[in-house]
Amino acid sequence: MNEKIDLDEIERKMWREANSDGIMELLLGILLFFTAGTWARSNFTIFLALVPIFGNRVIEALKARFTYPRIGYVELKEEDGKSLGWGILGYVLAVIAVVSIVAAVFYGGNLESFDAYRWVPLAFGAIFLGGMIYLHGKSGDPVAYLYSFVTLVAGGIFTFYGFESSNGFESSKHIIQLYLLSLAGFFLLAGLVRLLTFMRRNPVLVMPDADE
Amino acid sequence: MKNFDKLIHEPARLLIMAHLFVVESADFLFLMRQTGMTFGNLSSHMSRLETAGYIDVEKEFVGKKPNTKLHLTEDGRAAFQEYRRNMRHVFGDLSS
Repeated sequence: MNEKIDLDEIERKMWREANSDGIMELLLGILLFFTAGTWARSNFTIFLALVPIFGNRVIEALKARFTYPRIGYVELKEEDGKSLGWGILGYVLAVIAVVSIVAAVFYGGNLESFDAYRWVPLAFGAIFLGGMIYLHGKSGDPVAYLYSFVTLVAGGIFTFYGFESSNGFESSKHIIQLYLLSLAGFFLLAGLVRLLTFMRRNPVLVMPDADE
Repeated sequence: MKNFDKLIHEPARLLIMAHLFVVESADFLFLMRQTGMTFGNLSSHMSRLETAGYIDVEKEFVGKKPNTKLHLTEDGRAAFQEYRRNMRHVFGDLSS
């Protein structure tokens, strides 16, 4: 018991352990899939509306089935919702501002051919980068860097090289759908790999009662 | 010299308190894995801390399986904070 006790590192380790099951990645993949669907068909919006209602219950049900029997249960400390919300809003506005500046430079000040949809993948990737920086701060998990790299690079590719047709907005919407579907596929695969690895490394344990 | 809380100062219990300090609650299995303690070792130290009023132990059933959940009490959090202050003070005195 000679380890140095670093409370921040202990918290990060517990956060990392509690979220190493791949379930968040799977649900993110599903969410991205339905988001891509809403760009194609408006009746997909109903699935997005169900996410905030049933999302937590689904996560808990999956964790109760796969995670808790293997590594146990932990209730992590909740963030201060208000300050987190303001932080997210501020960051998103900053990203929109930066992407707008990049777009203005890209068009050389000629805004007649400006297509806002084209820049959605890059903006999304940049917003997601912020989320992954936050996630890495909480968990110390280097996989956050991989996720941010993939979403940002893919966003850049779909923005700068994915648009070939001059059919304007319709092609741009298809590019957004393709970008979101690509990310959905990536996160579904990443989540599945993490879940299977997690299950292999952590067999279900039978615990005697703690009083015995 | 500051009086250290000898209950918390014991390395295994210090580890338990540190882990529970940074979360709302954790069950027995999670804590056992995080601290690296054996079942019997953790159970023994858990009982000492519960008797002192530093942790609360809730036993419930998840499905048909018994589950033991632990969290620091207000007294436990205060005691741990005090312990940390005392340790910082001691090392501050040593370095001066």
